[in-house]
Amino acid sequence: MRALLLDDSTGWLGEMFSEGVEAGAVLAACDLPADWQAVEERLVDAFHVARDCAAQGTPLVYVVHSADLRGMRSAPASALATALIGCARAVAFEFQREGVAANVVAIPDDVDHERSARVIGVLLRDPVLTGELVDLGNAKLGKLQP
Amino acid sequence: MSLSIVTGAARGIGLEIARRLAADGHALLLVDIAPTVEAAATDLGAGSICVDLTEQAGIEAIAAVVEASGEGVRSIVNNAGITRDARLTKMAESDFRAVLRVNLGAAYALVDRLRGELIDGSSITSMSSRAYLGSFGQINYVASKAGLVGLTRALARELAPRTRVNAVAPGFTDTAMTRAAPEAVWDRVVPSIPMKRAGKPTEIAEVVAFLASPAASYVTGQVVFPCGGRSIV
Repeated sequence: MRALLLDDSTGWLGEMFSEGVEAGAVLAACDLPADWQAVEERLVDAFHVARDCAAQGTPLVYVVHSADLRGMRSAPASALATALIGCARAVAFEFQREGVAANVVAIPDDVDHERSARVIGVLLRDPVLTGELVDLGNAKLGKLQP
Repeated sequence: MSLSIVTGAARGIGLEIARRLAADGHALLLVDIAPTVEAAATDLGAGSICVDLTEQAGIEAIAAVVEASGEGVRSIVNNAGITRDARLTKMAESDFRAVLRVNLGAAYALVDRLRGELIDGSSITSMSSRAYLGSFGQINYVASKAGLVGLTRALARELAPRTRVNAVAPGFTDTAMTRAAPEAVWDRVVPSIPMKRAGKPTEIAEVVAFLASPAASYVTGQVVFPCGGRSIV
């Protein structure tokens, strides 16, 4: 199974990380949600992707905006980002024995696209981590992670 | 006197929080979907309202009580919550949505509706759970409780310095819900807790009362874990 659920802010991800990725899913939630309903719908998308990955034993990466980890854009955006971290942790916790890896990559505005794609690709190709939040920005330094 | 609102206050941790805040002199409005909230409020000399927080009409009914009081809001405790546990591969989308709506969406809707009523020095406390760090068969619950952490961080930035916003993430607590769990669950969980026992609802309420008090006047955007140390083992 391969699935890409990107949004307007992450369209650049495209197939950048796909080399060597045989299976796995990426769901991005970097756009500012228009309203609370948009938050719920993206989380439902995340739920379905997680269920499919769990059923098929494939790795999963959620992509969020770094600023949302620190509540810098909007309350709905931050709730969405940290809820996705919760989803990844829940999948990791429940399916650790089956080897299903679920992680979150947080991307700031100024990060190099190729680097981001490389990190996501590693998490799909060789998922040695699970239940982790990987924040690619420097703004996290000195801050509490959610 | 400005109101303090506790949701999910008819029983369990919510009721204990209400009792503790009443002891601190809060003028309380207890909120629950269960009609028994009225009797609970009467015992505390508090007001009550029986509403469904996932409906806009329920949020508006609370706002109407606040606006009629003319005194604003001193404290909001987002405690209302449900569980619909299932293995991920067996969980229905409706159960995922239901838990999100009550545990997370309703908390945001209530705060968003009442943000203009918050007085200087007010506080918002959302009841997350240690489970937001990961739990078995609870992706809906974990997502909702993790979402409250992000909500807390964003609202803390938005509402400072007028209002402080924090979250409490209790661990295994002795309530009617955990009492209903099989004995094997208690036998497995309790030894894994450094404090070697379940928490008491009064111990969770103490943390909430602290965060709602002037003693916590420099605390905002934080998550406090009254979990007996289980979040570190």
